[in-house]
Amino acid sequence: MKRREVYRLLLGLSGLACGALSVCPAQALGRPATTTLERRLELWRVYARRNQRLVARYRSTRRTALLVEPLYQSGTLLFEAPDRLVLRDDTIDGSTTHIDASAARIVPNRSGGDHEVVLDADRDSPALRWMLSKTLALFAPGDGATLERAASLRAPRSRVPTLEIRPLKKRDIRVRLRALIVTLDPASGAISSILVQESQGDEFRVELSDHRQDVSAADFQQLVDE
Amino acid sequence: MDSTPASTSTARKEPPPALAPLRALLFACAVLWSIWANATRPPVISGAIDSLHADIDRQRASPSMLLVRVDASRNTGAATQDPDRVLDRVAVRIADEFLDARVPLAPPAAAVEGWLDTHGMYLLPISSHPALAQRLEREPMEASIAAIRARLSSPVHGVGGLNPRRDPLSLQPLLFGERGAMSYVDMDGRAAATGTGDLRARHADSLLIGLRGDADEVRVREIAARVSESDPVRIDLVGVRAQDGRRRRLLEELLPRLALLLLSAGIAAVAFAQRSTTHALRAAAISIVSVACIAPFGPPLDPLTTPVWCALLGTCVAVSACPPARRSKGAVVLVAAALSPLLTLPYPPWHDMAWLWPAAISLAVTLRWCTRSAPSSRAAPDVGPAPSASLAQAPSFATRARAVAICVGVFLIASLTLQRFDVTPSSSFQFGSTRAHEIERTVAREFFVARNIVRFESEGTTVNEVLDRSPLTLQPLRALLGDIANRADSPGSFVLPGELLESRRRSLRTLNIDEKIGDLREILRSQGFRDEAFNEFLNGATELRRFPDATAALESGLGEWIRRFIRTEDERVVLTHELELRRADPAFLPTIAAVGTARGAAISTMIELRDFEASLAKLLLTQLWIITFVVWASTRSMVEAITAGLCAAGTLAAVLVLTTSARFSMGAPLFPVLMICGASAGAITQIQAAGGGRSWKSWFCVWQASAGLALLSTGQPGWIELGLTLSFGLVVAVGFGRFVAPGIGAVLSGGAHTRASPTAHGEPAEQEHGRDAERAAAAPPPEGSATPQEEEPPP
Repeated sequence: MKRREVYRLLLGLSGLACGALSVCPAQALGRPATTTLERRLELWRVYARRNQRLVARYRSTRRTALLVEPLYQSGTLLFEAPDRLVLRDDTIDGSTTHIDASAARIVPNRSGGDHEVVLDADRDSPALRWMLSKTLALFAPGDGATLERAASLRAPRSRVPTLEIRPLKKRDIRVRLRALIVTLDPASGAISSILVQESQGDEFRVELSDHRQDVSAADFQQLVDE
Repeated sequence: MDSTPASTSTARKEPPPALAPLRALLFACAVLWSIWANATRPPVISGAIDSLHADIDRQRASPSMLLVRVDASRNTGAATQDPDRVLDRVAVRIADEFLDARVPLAPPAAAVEGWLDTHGMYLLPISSHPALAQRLEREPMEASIAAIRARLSSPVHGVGGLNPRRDPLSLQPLLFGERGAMSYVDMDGRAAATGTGDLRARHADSLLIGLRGDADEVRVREIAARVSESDPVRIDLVGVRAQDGRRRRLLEELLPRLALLLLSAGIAAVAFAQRSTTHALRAAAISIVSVACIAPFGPPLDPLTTPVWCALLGTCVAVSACPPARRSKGAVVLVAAALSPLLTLPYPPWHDMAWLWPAAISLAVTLRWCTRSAPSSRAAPDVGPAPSASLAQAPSFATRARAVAICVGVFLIASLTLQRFDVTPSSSFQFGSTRAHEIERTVAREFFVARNIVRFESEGTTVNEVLDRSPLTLQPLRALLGDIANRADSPGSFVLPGELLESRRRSLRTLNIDEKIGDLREILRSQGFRDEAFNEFLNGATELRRFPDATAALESGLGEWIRRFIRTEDERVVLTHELELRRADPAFLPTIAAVGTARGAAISTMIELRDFEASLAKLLLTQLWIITFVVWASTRSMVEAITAGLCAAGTLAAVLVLTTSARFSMGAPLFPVLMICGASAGAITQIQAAGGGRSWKSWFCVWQASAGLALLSTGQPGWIELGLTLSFGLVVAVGFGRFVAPGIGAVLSGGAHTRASPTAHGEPAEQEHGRDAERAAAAPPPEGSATPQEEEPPP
């Protein structure tokens, strides 16, 4: 076969491929992405199903223009379904964040109640309300409907299973928050990290490990009270 | 017929033929007067529904606004755009189109940030300076910065709105003592100010843009239409002026239809009752001339007064159609005095109507006299039972028992159901298109409730003087923030008077702020922060040479917003503080009165709500007294007077029960309708029961009720309620007049009462004395004793 014929053949095949792509229904193209999302959601559901009470270790990183260097912390995450979440930093320089469906409370570990801040989601920020509902839904057993409500839920292609949750086009949310990006463990479906992308450019990443699911109520309460 | 005594009597009542030219002249004069008056001074049509408010409380100078909403039905599919971007683009386009006509509705966000950065320290009251000094100590500052660092390790720090850049030491709580004191700046309301002073709804894709009150409405509409064509938005003109205009156009559209319906219904009813089209047309002509003669001198035709004008037209038809011989003078006086009790209330339009109503009725009676024709040879005999004879018979026991039972029943039901009134203020009168209501509700839901805004004013000789003093005049008003008001719009929140400036500067100098801010920079650096990230705060705190005085405020980005609150009147400069009340609750009135003299629709509304029950009681008592007195004066019979009063009271009670049971709006617009029903109930007892086989009591009310029926056909909820109430009230009045009054009269007179029957002279034919009644019952009926020949058309 002459080289020119090979070129022609390749050109023809390329044209056929382009034609096929152009007439291919958009749904067919979208199907693999949807399937990926479904697969990842199913993976997450398997993990979340046993999250009646969850205890995990975390390492957090905040990158902000306020600080010269990123701020690192480590601590313990405690979750009790359906809407109780505590992130307790280990060090005295850190803080403890209590989250429920309607409010968040940040208590610095050093000064305690003196510099405590209570953020009422209904009063202070629709973005906070949105974020609280999504964060709690990530850990609570469920079918994922809450994750999709008022949000754009995507499963971007990557080596590790990732879910990207973005607020819908609402100024009052997007003025504060761009996206929540959740990474899942490929084997167990456990949440391995959550990245909070804020609109001002700040980022907060929390990486989870040592998940202990279905902790007994007594043990859980003891950990909370520590 | 002519040979009967009645005929003789009627003939005696006929005006002498010599007066015929005079009568014709009078009628012609009335017609010419009505034409001339309406031509030179045409009645004013207004769309305002606050005409019952005190003049000083009515909103005239409020700005017009453009409500821009993203149209979701047009913003779909592949061309879907971000609503925020659409609104931003539309705002810019509208700003370009209305360079001079725009006014900021709120202090522009960027200007406020700059102002607080520059003058934040000065705006802190001296009472907070000890707390400020304490926070500027090294140890608390270190703790504050450490707390910021600790909070940064929380995932919700940035999303929750914490912004340590501008306020690392948490000084804002010292500045924002009461939430809402600085307009939209320190509150989390339904809307927030944009960079240009427009309002952006927090929970909806809508924007509110302010325009000057005198902006050309036609041009505004043209531009709005042009913008909404190219972008997926709906733009509506809102504000008091726009709403009034919208209602005025609707009223102008409805008025001819309403008048036509009313006259058609009246003519049909009169023609049917009188069996004569001529009589019907004559009654209609008399009514039109009567109302037209006084219309130019009355209050403007607006959604609240139009139903009263309709009722007046219907009553004129009834008065001019009812045979004069069948209605006594007492009945005419009662109908004419129907609205007199309204003089006891502080509502100017009702005062005007209270004077014009008797004038129109008197004119109708006079014109009726002018148009009386000579007795016709074709006039039919009065074929019905002789009224006086039939009434002279003592009512049976069943009649009396039924009357007492009805009275007791109505009053019992009323006493059980009328425990509490759910009053609707007149400013919430339901008139206008559905779309207009929807727009009003949207603005109230997503931005603010315009009718809850109250104004407090302070005066001075120059702009700078009033502006400098504005914080002092605003100070007492801050007591309202919280439970009573949720927001204060006032320049006084941003400027400081000269004397305060000096004292605050002295106080701030004692704090060594420059040195403390240097320490703060060092602390920030030592804890790993970039100190330049906090420059807005650090530079503003040390810049104490720039003062937040009136001149600086007017020259700053806030100047345009501040000028909205300043106006000049007779060489006086007036500054207005505006507060948005949480609701128009009469319980707030004492507190509001304690802090200053407030003006605004909300004040009139609260007074109206507070005084409703007292006003209603005053009206009812006054009317019952008038009815009783007039009937007694015309019949000299206390039994008649009490019977009429009881009938009126029963009618009023039944109407009130209906309005509360049907959840109709109870409020000041209902008062004239109530009074008309009560007066008609009293008047019916003074109208001769029957003649020519017809019940004039019933027909009198049917002619009046044609106004109510015409109102029903307009489709306006407020008018439908009033029309139903009027019609129902008049039906009840007939019931009481026909079925209850004879029984009650008999009971009151000891069982043998004969109701006084007005003669053709309008005098009672008989009194209630039992022996006379018995004699009258036994005597043969005086045939046609009160038959007005010319009034009864050929059957």
